[in-house]
Amino acid sequence: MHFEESSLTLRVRPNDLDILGHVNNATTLEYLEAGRWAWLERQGLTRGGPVVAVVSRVEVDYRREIPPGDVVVHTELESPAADELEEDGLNYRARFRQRVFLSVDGPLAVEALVSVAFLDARARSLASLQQFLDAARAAPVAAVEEPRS
Amino acid sequence: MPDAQELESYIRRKFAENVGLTEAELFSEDLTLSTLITRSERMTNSVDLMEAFARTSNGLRKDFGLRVRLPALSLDTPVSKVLAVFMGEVTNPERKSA
Repeated sequence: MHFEESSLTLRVRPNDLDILGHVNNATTLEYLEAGRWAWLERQGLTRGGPVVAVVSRVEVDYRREIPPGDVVVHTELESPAADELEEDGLNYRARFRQRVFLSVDGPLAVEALVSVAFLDARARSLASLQQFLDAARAAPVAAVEEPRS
Repeated sequence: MPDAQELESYIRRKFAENVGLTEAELFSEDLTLSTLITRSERMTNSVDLMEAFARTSNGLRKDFGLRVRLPALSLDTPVSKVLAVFMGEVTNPERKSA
């Protein structure tokens, strides 16, 4: 199973900035979340299914301050790797590598590893990545989060 | 096809490898899943635990063509019960096609 890397451009909002005039560290987590939604869209997966993804771990390296302007969020599925992910296998965890750049050709500002698990929303019990993919492929198209401008 | 004893030995070994404890640590005290998470340096939460069981399940499928479904397991479940669930799945003739 192969998944494409996604790229999402976001405009920094005035209220994203802290007293130093750069993006607040916690706001960067929102950029990363938007990047993961864009990744789902890129794969043709939709939200609204009975199995949902939840974040279980976040590791963030802040490498450079983010000033007002555009940022580009790159998101790729790092684990399971293509050869570890099979339709009839079982995986209960996925890890994304995400990078936030200052503009399309700009320098790296943030790098993060984000682990997610999957929950059956009704039973509130753990589900597998394969169950999530089945549900996200079958789910009706829900309202899609528009990139901010 | 391996017999039941060989399969149980395989599952015990894979459990231990995937959770990062020895077979003796894991089974001699019949640890509950919550205790297992506490003792294992590789485990933080039940997601890590299910991933470890999933790796065992994937190994059974690849090595022996046996499919194991994992039920929802509460954290007070002893590891012997998990082993019994796996053995029930792999020794059920209707579940053997992967």
